Amino acid sequence: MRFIHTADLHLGAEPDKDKPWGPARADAVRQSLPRLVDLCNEEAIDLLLISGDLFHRPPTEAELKETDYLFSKLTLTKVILIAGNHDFLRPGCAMAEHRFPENVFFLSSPDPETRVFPQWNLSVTGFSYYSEKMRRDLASELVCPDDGRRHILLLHGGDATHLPFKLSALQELGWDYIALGHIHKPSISSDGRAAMPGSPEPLDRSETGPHGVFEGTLSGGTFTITWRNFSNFEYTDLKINLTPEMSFAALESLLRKRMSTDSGKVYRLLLGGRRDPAAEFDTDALLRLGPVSEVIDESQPDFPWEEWAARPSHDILARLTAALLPKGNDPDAALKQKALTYAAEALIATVRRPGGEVLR
Amino acid sequence: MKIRRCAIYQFGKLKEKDLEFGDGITLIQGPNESGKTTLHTAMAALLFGVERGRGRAAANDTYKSNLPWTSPELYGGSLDWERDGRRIHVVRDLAKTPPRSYISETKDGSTRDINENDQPFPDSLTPYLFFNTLSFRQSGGGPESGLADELRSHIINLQGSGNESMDVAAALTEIKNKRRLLQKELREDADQEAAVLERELAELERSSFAAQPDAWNENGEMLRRQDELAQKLTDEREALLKETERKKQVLKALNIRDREELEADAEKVSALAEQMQVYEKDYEPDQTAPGLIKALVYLSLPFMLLFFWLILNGIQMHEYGRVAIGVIGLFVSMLISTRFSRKQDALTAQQHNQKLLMELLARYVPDHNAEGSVREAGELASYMDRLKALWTDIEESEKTLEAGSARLIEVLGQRESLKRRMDGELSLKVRREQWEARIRALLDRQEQLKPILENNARLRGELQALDLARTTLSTLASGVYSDFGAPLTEAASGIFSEITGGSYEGVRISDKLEIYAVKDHRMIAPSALSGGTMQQIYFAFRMAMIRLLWPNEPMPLFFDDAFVYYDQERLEALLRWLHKNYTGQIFLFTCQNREEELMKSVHIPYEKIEL
Repeated sequence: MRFIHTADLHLGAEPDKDKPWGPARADAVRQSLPRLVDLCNEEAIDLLLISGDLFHRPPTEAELKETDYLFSKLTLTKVILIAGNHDFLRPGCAMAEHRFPENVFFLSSPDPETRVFPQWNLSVTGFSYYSEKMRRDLASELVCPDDGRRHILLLHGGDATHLPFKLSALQELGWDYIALGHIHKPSISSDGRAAMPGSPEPLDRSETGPHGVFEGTLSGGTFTITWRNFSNFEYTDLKINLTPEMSFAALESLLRKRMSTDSGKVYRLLLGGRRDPAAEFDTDALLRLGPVSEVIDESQPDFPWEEWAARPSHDILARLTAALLPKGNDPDAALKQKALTYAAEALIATVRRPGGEVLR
Repeated sequence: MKIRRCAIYQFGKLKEKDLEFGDGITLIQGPNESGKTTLHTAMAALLFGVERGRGRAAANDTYKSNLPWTSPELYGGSLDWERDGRRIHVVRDLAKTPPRSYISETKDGSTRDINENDQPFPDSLTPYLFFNTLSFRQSGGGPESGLADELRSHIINLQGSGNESMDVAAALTEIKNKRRLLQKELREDADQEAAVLERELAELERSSFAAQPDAWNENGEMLRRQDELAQKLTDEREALLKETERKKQVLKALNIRDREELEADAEKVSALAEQMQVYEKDYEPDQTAPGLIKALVYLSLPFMLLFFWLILNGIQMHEYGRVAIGVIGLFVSMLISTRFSRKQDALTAQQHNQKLLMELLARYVPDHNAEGSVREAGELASYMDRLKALWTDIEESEKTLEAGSARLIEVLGQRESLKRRMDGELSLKVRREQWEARIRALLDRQEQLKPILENNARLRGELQALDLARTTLSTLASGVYSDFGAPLTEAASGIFSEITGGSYEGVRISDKLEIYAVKDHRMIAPSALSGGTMQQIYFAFRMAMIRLLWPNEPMPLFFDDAFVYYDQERLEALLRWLHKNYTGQIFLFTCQNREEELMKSVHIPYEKIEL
């Protein structure tokens, strides 16, 4: 038996809507289900597991009609589906009332519900969200049955407000494979029996790295899964450590060199290091340099804090650094460092006035 | 410290000047644009050196603004100054990048090159302090209110024996401006909207729209059945109505309106047919002509009379044979008469009946071509029976229709109430769909707001840091003031009192660093002081600072058109005070000759250089 495990397709989401590449992202999200259907047909997949958040929002009847059409194109594959926190159900809502095609099994109950596939000696258990958030202790409800079959559990959640669980605790419940969903970054438990495939398409600029699905087999009573890249697009972090010698033009030229022109990448620029305090760094201009989604500037102006701190105590810079330079593990270190930088920059700016003429 | 000589190769508009200076007051006089301020700037530039600025600040820095238009390769000059018996010769070649300096020291008759930092500068003499203490410029022109602020920030900026030349007040202003810019970026409306969204979402999530879809479907099925039944009833009713109408049309065409009349006529026809049939049976085979029968009936009477006469005659004559013949004859003729008169009656009746038959035929079968035969009478009779049955049918149908209507009304009523109930449920379904659409819209909006809220959070962090920077800086600055301010104020008070000829007792500085003049033990706010008085306070503070900074050394003072706003009386008082109290060099740059006239008139010695 061969299966594909995916989750968080978020059909209807429009990542980076206001960016030039926004429409292409919306298309990619929309195309993810038809592409998955094609993949299942080409690879003769027996079972497609969708661990929640197929839709970005509780779907309308029209949206369900679209997915029905796509599911109906599956020649061999059966689909198991749960609702997640984004497409959560309501009694009587369109998705709860919907009759999916015969090859789709929607585990729409708020409590664990099991579908048995005798042909593979397999049972699949899962349950659906009925609100945007869910906190409940499911450990007692999710004990794996002991009936000689193999067992898959579909589970959506994993953060503080959506079924907080520990992978290690889940492993102990005895399921042969736990098909997770909700977190958009792929991960896999130590024993390989619980896996989070992440979203097949990245949905936010913070979702860096490759995006794909898990492809698995059940043979001889054992599950094995392998990763399969799916998205042709990637959000990438590009970290640049500034030096005091580096001019803004040099930074721009470096970035141009480092950013590939390949259309499948969008960059998040992380600036660190120490920059020339006198140079003007226009981070907005960097946004226009190429496919840049965001610039996070954590670089510090290259002020000689220690030297200042060592000056005679009447010196305003000595006093300033003494008051604000974070020492040890100050909980307000970040705030103080920022304030120190602001104050120092403002003071240094006054020195740079012609001839130091403060009184006009 | 004394400035002894200044040689300019090229500096701004000045070129090839070589000036020497004495110990006391040097009056440097020249019309506007003659280069007094340039000379003043050049002396400071040669003393401290000039840096080529970078970036934004370079646009109007000292270096650039004094770059000579002609012969820039000669940009520079030299300065000779003395201190503690050391004479320093500084040559600055500003045309080079970076500018070059050649510094030599002449001591005890020997000259050697020294480094910039090895010059015997007085403590704390930085360009900043030079420009903010020793160098007096035409200051605070225009509305004098600005002067109080300027002085205040000046005091804030004093830093003991400060090594740095920073303007804390300007830095605070910059931080304030930056704060304002960030504050403007802050989208507080988005925060409010997000809170409202959150509340509405929570409310929407609490409301339940669990309409019973199963019941709705059952009701739908029932409604469908009711509709079918109503349809069937309606169809039946319409068919029956049509049939009845057709039947009514038949009766109407015959103008039959009265059932009793129809029944009476039917009875008549039926009796008629019977009579005619009886007549036919009794008389029809007899082919005797009616005329003959009539004749016979009429003829039998004279025979009877004849025979009766014969009988009477025979009795009279006792001719009993005659009587017998008479009797027999009478009897026979009576027999014949009876027989035929009956037949004639029947005939008459038959004719009458026939006539009646024809009338009835005309009534009920208007376009008949009948002759009034018995057969036709029979046919009419059965036709009339059919008409009678038709009438009965119509009556029956109308009864059926009435019952059908009642049933239909009942079914339609049931359907209506079911429909109403379903409409209610439908509107519930519609409302639920609207509710879902609202939730979707809210979630979408929440997603749109997310980056704005993130940016707000980031901005709040920055604002917090700016606030911390501001409070820290101003706390530090007032700390500086408390170290330095009290002796300063005391010294300034004395000087102020002196230069005002004792009309003021002094100055006070409040906790908020506001300056008050004291007159007759009263504090007078700067807003209540004249511009001239503010200028005097300003001068007093300057001089006090100089005294505190260099208590043991007379430093050169530079007045660059600094007395424009002084009236004659004040200027005189000031010059007198300087002459009496200050032992250092004084450079007076002016475009007027009232300083010269004043000094002449009060016998203050001076040297004069004309530019």
